[in-house]
Amino acid sequence: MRAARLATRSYRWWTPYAFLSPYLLLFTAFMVIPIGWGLWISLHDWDINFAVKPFVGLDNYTELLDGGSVDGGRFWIAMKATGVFTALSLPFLLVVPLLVALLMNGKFRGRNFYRAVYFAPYVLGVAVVGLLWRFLLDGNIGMVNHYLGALGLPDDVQWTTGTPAAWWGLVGVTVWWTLGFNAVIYLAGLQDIPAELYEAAKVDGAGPWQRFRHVTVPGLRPVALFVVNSTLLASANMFGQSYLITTGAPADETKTAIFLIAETGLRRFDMGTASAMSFLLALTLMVTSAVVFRVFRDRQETS
Amino acid sequence: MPLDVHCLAGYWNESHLGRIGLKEAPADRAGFEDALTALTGKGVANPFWMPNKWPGHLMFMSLLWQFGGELYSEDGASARWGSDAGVEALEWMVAQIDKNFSPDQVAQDAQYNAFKNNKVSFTWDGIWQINDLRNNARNLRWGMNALPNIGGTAAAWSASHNFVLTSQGAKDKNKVTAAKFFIDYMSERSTEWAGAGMIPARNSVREDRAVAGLPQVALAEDVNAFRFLPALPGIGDVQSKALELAVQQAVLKKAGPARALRDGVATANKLLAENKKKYAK
Repeated sequence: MRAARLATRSYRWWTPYAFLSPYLLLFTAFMVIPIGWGLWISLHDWDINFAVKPFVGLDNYTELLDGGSVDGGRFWIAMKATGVFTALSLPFLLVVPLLVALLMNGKFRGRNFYRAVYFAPYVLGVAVVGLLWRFLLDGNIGMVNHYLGALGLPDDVQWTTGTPAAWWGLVGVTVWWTLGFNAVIYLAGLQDIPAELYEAAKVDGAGPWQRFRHVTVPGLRPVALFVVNSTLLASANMFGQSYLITTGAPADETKTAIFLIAETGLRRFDMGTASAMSFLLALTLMVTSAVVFRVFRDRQETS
Repeated sequence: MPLDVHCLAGYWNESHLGRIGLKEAPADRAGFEDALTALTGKGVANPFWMPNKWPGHLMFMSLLWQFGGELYSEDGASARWGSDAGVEALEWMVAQIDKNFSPDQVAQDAQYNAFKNNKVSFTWDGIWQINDLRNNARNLRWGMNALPNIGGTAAAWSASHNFVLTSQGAKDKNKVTAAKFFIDYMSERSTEWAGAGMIPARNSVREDRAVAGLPQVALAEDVNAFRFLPALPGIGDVQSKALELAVQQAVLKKAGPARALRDGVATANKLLAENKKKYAK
């Protein structure tokens, strides 16, 4: 008793902050300061090479919002590219890993081996994946078209230089590359669903589809929010694939927002415009993310 | 102070050319186009691939100069590459695709990889590629000379590695002397640098026996054919956002050459005006 009281008495107002401080320090150093610094940069005509970095207020933003200006036009084309890629890739990145996870959740010989096989591409770096698929997908000298031709299918699809084929190329590569990650999360979710629920459903006469629909899907809801949101953000941040595989072709149609931001800031050194682009993209993603949270909350309330 | 000059050059596949009785790439338009036609009859489906990306814009600039055009006005206020010469140049590039000398929509580096793999008879690329071809395409027999003269005036895109003495550094006499000594020292030793596939800028080095025999040095016979981007501040921005995009659009047939160039020039002029303001500060 006495020891407990002593402990309570030694509580100070700063105790919680002391416990928080290691993370708070990292959060401040790597989140708060860079964000504030970026915001400050975005209000300037900030070229790394110049000593003079004049303050321009919201000029960078108004220029980007004006679709008729050079950077504004390029930015919205890139935002559209980001949107197209996200919309096309999201369904596949949500459904294909789920199917893989269901498959891997079964009991069969060599299960661990197959789990490793599906996860394997994920450990490759984007540089490896990009270079590999750039050669495989090349419309004129690539192996994909070569084998399509050997099978009697059209062999002149321009996977890297023509839309919409380039989008499907990028989506396919991304699904192949990253499905292992979502599959592992789904698998963990599946293993958390108590076996009794399946047994009870069976006893009640539910078939495989009904068990999937009424036991598996609701059981996966806790991980689904995470999977949807993280996949959405990852797709919207797509850069390496289009940078390496299509290099933005045809004529910048597959140049995503992050690609353009990196190019503007790190190749053209126009940090002001690049920062303003980043904030507009971040704002868009925050709104989209909020909508996703909202949808999941509503569903939980109605269920 | 330039250390070297490097330019766009024409590469050819010796065994392909042998089939039509040629020893090297023809130097004029009629000869070049006849050779392409002849090659398609001798089992080379697409002898000259037209890239939409690098070095597509370098090919366009070379042809623009050949047809008598120029890139930018002297004061750097307006883009001139949308002129008739520019349209002619870009139309010639697109015509190679229309005539089936090139496949459609050639992706980045595909023309060069196809050349290395014996599928292409002619390709235009930087002279520095000779080392890559020598080391990584050992089974390929190839040759290189100046770009064919398609437009009427011999011209090829060129660039140069330079040493620069800043005005800030020039305030100190000792630093200037040291810098001059260093530049001279490096320039004298550009014999070594020539091994990278470059053409040494220093005349005495080019005449050196070890250098004079290098294949790329032969291109320096006609120094007037070397054409450079004007030294305008921020020009790289204009090139990539406007000129390169216009070439990509035309080669990928997203827009006709004339329209792609007109749109590109409009963008370029906006950027040039912005740059005038930006770099005046």
